[in-house]
Amino acid sequence: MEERIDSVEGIRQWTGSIPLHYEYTAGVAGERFLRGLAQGKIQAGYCANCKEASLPLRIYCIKCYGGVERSVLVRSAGKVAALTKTQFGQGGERLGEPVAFAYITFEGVTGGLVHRVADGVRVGSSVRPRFKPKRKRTGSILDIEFFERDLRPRTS
Amino acid sequence: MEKAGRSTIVLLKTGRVEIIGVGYEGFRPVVSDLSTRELMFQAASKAYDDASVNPRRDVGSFICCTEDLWEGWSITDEMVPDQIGAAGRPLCTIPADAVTGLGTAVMHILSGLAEVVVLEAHSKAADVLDKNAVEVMAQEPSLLRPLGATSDTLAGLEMDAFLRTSGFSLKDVNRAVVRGKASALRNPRASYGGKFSEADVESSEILSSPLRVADKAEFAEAGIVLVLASEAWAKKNKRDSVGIDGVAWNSSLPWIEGGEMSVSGYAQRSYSDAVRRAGFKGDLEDFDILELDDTYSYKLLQHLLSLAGTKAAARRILSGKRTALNPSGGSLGVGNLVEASALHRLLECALQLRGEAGSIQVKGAKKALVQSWRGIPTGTGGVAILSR
Ligand SMILES: [Zn+2]
Repeated sequence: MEERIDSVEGIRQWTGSIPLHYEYTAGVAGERFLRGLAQGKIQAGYCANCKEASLPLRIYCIKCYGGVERSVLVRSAGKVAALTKTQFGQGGERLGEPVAFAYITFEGVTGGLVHRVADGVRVGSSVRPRFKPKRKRTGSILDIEFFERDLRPRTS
Repeated sequence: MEKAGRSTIVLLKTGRVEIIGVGYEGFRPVVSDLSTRELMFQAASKAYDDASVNPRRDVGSFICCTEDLWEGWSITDEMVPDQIGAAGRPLCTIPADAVTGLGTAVMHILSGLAEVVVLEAHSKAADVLDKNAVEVMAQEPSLLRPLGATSDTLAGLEMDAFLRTSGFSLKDVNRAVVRGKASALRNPRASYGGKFSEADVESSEILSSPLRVADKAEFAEAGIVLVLASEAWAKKNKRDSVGIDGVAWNSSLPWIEGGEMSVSGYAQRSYSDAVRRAGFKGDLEDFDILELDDTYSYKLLQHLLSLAGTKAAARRILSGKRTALNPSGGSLGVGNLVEASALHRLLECALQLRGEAGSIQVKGAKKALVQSWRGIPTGTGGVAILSR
């Protein structure tokens, strides 16, 4: 019996998908950084040759290509270098409330981190990470819930 | 930090490579009647006809700029040869933009590997139902992707920083959109031309502040092919041609990893290297035509500032008195052709220099520059200098 085609759509296209899942190896530097987050710490790599700390943590220096063995604790407050409020999620869905993201830099550290920020944060704001409660941390960038304004009095 | 960027590839030590033929098909939001392979076949056939070459006999090397995730097909390079006449012939695919592809073609010719090389790129973006997913897959998987940011989030951040640090304002950005859309009205290859006012741009929906819908090039579909040959081959076989004077490409540190935000290191270095190789002594304003990447409106200004060197020089070019900036309408007007975007810019310049650009023809155009960018979240792009 012949099948009857009653719509041109059916013959003009077909749909398919690529169901792919990954388990990315964190690596030496990645593991060190993520373990640090689980302990409520942000760590930068330190190149002894360039005498420079940088984020994200890597096992090599992108300037001199030397090995980076040391990591240093980022103690300084972050500073918001750029700010955006996103209206759509990664699946293209409209978000109920816009989500604020910032690019955050740290004094004495090259590079920085992109992360979510709390309401009221402005460009130039001094910010600090709000970590999840310790028992809820998994060694993920999401162990930092967001960055919020650092209202601590300046020590210097 | 920018000085620590990755190495720059510089070509054209000797001789020159010529564009001897161009062909294209599509240039619509959706090419619903042709499959990807048929689109490539149509574009290639036209280019071979234009160049008067037989791909089964005359072409020594074929290069396709293509990327598996945009194809929806892994190891897609295996599916490329037949439709461009390259079955059983040397072919390589490059997951990069077409300026890098052009550099590879030039290397194949100048090294003596081939006398005639075909360069192909295409967009079948409408076939990709999850464009967001493809873009998000480009984010670093452990520190960035889990945050829930999109490409537009990253563009919004960069745009915010650009407007704060470059001296350009939102008004300048609005004008860039208006001008791209207006130029595109006269370009038969443009899908998104229109008469927009600055107020229209201003009121466009926010994607990720300050980035708006109007700031982002919408996707389009096309197949594009260039046929290239050594100068000697073109002369011997009496082919009319456009010369490639210099090409360079470069990767700088993306701003999300500490790179600069007001200028693009990849564009600056590609430009200075391409200019040096071309032996070009003038300024950016001495080019008759600039086709610069404008995948996002603010990126056009950022790329222009990066190449012009100063804001004053960039503003003079924006005034449009001497140099034609994106006469094609750019990606904002023509559409985002993903991996084919750079080849589109090369095509527009080749047509202009041949005097075949029709209603968008820049009178007496002799020298043109193409600048490409690989898109968010990369700090990769290139520059090619063409002349006739
Ligand atoms: Zn170093």
